[in-house]
Amino acid sequence: MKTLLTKLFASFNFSSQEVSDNTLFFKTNADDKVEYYLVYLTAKNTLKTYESTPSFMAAMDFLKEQNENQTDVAKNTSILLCVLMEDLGADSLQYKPDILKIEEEEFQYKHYVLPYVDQAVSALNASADLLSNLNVSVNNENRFHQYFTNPYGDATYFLSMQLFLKLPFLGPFPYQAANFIPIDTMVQQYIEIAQVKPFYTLAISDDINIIDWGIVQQNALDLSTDSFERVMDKLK
Amino acid sequence: MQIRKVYIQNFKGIRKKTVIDLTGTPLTILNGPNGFGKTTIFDVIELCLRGRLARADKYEGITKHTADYYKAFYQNDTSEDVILKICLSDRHVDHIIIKRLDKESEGRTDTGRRFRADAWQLFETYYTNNPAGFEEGPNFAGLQQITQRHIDQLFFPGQSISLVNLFPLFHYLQQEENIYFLKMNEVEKKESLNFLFQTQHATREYDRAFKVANGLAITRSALQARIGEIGQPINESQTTSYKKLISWRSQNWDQEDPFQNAPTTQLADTFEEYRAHILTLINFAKSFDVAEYTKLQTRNALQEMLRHDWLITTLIIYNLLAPEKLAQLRRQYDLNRAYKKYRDDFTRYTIDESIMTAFDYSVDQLKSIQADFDQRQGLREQTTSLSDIIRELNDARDRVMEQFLELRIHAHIEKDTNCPLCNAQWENMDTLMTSYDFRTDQLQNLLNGQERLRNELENRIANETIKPLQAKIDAYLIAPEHAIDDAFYAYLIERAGNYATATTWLKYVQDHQYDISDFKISTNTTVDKINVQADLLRKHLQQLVFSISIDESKVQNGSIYRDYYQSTAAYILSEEALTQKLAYVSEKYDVGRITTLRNLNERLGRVTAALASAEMVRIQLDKAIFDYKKAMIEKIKIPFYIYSGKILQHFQQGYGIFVDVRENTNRIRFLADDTSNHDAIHQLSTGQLAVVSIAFCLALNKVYTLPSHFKFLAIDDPVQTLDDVNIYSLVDLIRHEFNDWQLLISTHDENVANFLKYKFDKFSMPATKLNVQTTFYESQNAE
Repeated sequence: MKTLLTKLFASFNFSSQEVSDNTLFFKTNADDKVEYYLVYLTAKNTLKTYESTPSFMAAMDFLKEQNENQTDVAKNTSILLCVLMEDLGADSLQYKPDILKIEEEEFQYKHYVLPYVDQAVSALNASADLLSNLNVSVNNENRFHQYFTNPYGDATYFLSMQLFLKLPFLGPFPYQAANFIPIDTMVQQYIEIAQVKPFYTLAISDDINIIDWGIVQQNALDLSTDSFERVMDKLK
Repeated sequence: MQIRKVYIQNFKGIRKKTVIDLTGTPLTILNGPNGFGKTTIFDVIELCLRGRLARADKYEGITKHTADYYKAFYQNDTSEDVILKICLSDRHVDHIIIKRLDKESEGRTDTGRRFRADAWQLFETYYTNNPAGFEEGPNFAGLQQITQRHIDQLFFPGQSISLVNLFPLFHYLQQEENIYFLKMNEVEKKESLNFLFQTQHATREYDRAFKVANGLAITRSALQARIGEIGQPINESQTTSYKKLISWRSQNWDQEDPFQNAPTTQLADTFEEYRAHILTLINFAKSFDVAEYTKLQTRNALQEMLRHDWLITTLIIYNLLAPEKLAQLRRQYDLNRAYKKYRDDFTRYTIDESIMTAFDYSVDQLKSIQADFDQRQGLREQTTSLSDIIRELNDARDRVMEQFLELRIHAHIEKDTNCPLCNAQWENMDTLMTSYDFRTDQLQNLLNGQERLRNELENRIANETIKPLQAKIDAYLIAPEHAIDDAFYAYLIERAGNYATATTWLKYVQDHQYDISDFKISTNTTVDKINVQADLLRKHLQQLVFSISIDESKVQNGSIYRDYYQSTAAYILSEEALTQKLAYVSEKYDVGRITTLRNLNERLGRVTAALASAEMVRIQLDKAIFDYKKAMIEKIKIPFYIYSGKILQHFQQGYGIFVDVRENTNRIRFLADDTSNHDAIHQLSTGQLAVVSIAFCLALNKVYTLPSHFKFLAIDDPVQTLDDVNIYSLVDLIRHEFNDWQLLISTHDENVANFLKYKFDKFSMPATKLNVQTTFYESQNAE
């Protein structure tokens, strides 16, 4: 996972620093931007207690040190908790309350929780072009549909999607810019193809819209008046 | 293309000109309390770029189009023009779009009402590429007046797309949209998702086409139903000739064209009415017997008479109630009363010449009686006067003597015996007093003598005049020809008012050869006698009632004879004539039906043809909207999922929001995952729902790269409903994904404004914070 994330962050011009075996610190190399990420790798069974583990406390101490040198670290660092699951589906559901609680932390650092399984990490690491592979993977409609049906069925797709959801700098890249056809244009095309333009123009006009069809219905049955004909003449 | 400046004058709450400068930084944060003009700035940009406000469109159903308004809803002061300007910059070329509502505007578009909320055509649009004087007041000389098409071509040269549709979809996220959306009930929420796709206009067109198609469909159904009701005519031509049957009244069914006034809608009902009517008359003609009915009437009349005692008794004394007879009786009764009164009052010694002459007193007799009366009156007056004098003399003398005696005692003049009245000298007091008593007795004797004479005269008058006259009057009053019982007379007077009614009934009885004359009383009698006669008459009438037997089968529908035929036997129509008439009317009806059917079928043909076109239009609009949404959703569903998930992060129902469109209902669904087919809008919080529209807009911008993409995004108070965590995610998303865009974000929260500025400043997106309240306050209070 560390390799995968290091590669991914590097793709977006971040430099990495290994704080400990399970902690990475990323800093953007862009001069005009301030953005830091502390990535903490943990396992599902520590979700309730990870904050009090020595390694996480050490990670927090690291951030404090960084902030002493660079005072904007505290306000611009997001913490990404990567949680190793055994059974992705069952564990994700079981630990969802803990994940929600962590992500809803409002007072210090923005927290992101990323559940994953090793099998998915291996699959993504195997790709030569990670970023391209992630895009292709996420934009695959069949896999997206299967993901909708069962988010945990395809662990690799799940991880790919989680990376998009959790990493602010990783945005969707549609294959190609779609050609936008405004609704009015589409309506006109359909109406013209059906060759009902004149009637369409009449049907949507204010003049026709104010017709009280209840009265038209009554007049249609009353042969002593030509009110019905006058209405129908409008629709010619 | 970038927006550099915005100019506002006399628009909504901003009366004096105000310029908003957006040139400083890519991000401008409009902050300040609600209600101080943040949304006004967004409105000006939208109005200048697309010529209308989407918000006003949405309230089409709320704003009355049938009402006149005295000014445009956005015009602050009616005495000034509304002037809005926007300065755009495309590389090194400036474009200034100016919108003006002339203060002299009548507010009408076509034949519409004044200043309708949707009357955006009232704005004149001008263009210049000279930015000089942008911040000054209007000078329209030399400016080019343009249309929306011109503005669209600035953004999409050579393209047929328009900012009218694109701006709300791609460039403007309104908090009001979200709030409006969120305040709806669940059904309305689902229906109103159109705002996400900005298909309101097409949907409105669909609604109108649906209304037409539906109106035509119900009209067609009504015509088909009516044609079915009329059915197939039996007679195709008229063979029965017309013959008028009724002369005494006007009847539609007896007219030559019985259906001439019947509306088509009531043709069948009218025929059924005629038919039923004629059949009733035929049945009547078959069974009714006038003679039998007359007997029934007679019996009913007799029974009616028996029900009223006043009528029976009035008939008994009918002869006496004849006006002349009653007048005569009244005169006699009055005479009797006068005689009786004179008789009782005769002791007053007055003569009533008319009465006394009536009782055969001669003139000489009357003179002699009058002389007695006069004499008696003279004596009466004398005795009365004498009596008064004596009484007064005695009283005076008594008082003098009483005082004289007291004087003698108190003055010690006991020896004085002179009369105190005439000073005559007396021997002593006793002699004097005796003399007094003697004189008193003389006077009383004189009076007594006079009274005796008067009594003797009155006794003679009583015996010779009064008593004989009273005897004569008494004899007169008890004579049968004069005597009238008071109770009988009162009874007659009471019944006199019934005389006219009784006359009618008596005539009826006589007309039917019933004689009741034996029961009537023609002379003065008593009430008891009248009652006896009345009992006899009742018994007689009851016998008559019992003697009348009726064949009930021949007197049914008597009301037809009475009311319709006016109780005239000659008017009764024969069965044959009526049967002939029924045939005539039926043929006329069929001929009418043929004409009606032909006309209705013609109308049905027109409706069917129009309905086919309307349905085609409706289907095409429905299909276009569906395909549009479907195509849009297919393209944005993955970016939308990612963006919604980025803002929401982990939430109870999932990681992001899926969107699809149902094939069968054309309805957009938002789903959290596949475990529930409930729409996510039922499950998401208010803030999470706001994320839906934000993510949708961002995904559209990500997916659709428009020609000459206008990288501008206005977000009106996005944090109003969002949690802090979501705000953070949204900021992170925007600064990463839209870092080369011009952003205009408003917020009512100063802390959020500071947070936004900090986060964007740290990301090479310097932000300018503009306090709208301060800006407008200063501009409105400037000299």
